[in-house]
Amino acid sequence: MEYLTHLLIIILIYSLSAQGFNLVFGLGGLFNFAHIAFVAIGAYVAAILSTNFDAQWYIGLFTAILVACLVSLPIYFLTFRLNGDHFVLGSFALSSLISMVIVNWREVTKGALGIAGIPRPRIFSIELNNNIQFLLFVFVLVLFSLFFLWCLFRSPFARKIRSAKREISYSLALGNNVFLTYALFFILSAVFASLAGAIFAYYLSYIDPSSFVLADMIFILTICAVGSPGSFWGCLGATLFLVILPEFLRFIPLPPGVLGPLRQIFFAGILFIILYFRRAKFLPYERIV
Amino acid sequence: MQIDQKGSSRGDNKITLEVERLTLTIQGLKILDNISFKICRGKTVGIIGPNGSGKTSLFNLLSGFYTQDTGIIKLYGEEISNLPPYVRARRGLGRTFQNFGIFRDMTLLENIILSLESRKGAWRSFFPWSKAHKENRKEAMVILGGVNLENKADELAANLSGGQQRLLELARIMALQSQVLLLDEPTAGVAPKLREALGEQISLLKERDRTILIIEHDLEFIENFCDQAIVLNNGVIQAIASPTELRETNQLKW
Repeated sequence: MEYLTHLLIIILIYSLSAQGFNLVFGLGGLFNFAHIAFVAIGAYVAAILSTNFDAQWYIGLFTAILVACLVSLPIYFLTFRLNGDHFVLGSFALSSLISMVIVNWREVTKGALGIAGIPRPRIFSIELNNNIQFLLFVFVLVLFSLFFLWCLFRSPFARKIRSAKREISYSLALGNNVFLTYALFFILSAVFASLAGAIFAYYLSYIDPSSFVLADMIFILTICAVGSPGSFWGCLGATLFLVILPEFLRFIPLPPGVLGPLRQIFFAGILFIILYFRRAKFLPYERIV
Repeated sequence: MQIDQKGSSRGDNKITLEVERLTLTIQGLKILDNISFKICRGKTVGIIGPNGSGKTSLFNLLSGFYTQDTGIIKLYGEEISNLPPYVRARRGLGRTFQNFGIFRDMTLLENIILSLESRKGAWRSFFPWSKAHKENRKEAMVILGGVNLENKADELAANLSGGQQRLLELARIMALQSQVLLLDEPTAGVAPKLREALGEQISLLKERDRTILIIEHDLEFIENFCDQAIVLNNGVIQAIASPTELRETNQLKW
């Protein structure tokens, strides 16, 4: 039971993070490598606020989102003028920069040691130490977020960014302010990434830089690719599928030192298969209008 | 040189589009040199010239995708020379593209709804259950019906034939209700039967007093639809006259 609760919480957190990535990658076609950095910023801001400043969970969440938004803006301005492969490289460089700051700014982030003892959120003087209580808390938060995202995915703004994905000039000729539309989605992506990061920090009550590395980015990318980029339900389904699937690896009698790398190979295999057999057919595009 | 009332029963003499001494150089190559003309409301003007004479560059300048070296572009007397393309589009300058400016991975309905949302503002129809969204859907179906594509509303635009893609592009620009239209080779790669349908749509736009500029290689088409024609050659305006006049005086040699 405890195990199942844990799985559900992880699925909910990942669904939020993956949908955030889906906003920019799936709808907008920009491979934003800095996404995992936003998750890290969310987690660290929430963790620092609640350990060093004894801040309430809602203040932690709110500040985490705010900081992620503020950081996302300069990243957006720096990278949007790059296109295609250059954008990937640019965002990757900025992502590395942020993780370097996290590892080396020891006074604040405690470097590679990580931050321990993050208190669980306290709602009406009930501390959510029980995982089932925490699951309910996450469920409510994620449900609201996913509902907003569901609306966003069929809103005029999603159509605008999808129209600009292939050919910017056609979209401009229709009176669409492409720069602003992308900025909106970039910021919203950072909002959901940092929200996921903050919830992650509150849940595990311990974070260190190794939770926000390239492998996690690849995992989020795999979710988006499996779920057909730009599809809301596809992304949700893929999160469920890909979080549960490797859990079966646990039942194979192998030493833990082998299991970790095996998971990575497993994901690489899935990603390869999906990209090999046309990903659009794996889960077809949903009709939005 | 002014393209005005002469030879047409429609329209008043209100100048919608005015271009003054427009010059464009790309990488040291002079594409357009000292282009000036004025176009009155309700006029249809053909732009003809050999390949590489600067026709599409002129359109790109007018719609804001290129920036001119010198010169002024005015829409309804207001200068728009330095505005970005999307602002010009919102001010009523619509354009189509030579290589099918439709969104291929969206459905036909979405293609039209995009225009409607661009014209009416996106916030009003944010929620899928909002009234504005349902109205947009209905209106888009009516517009698609106007070009006989309503039974393909839920198909991807990429699945359409070349002619139908042109029709869709025209329908989209109608949904945008642009007052000045720049049509870049609307009949290129279109079979004769659909060409008629395209012609009908253009006549419909003329009836609604839209100012239309058409780039076209088909002189017959120009003669049928245009009041005046601008002959561009090597980036210079060679002549402005009615298409019939041009044919009779044999000025179209290249």
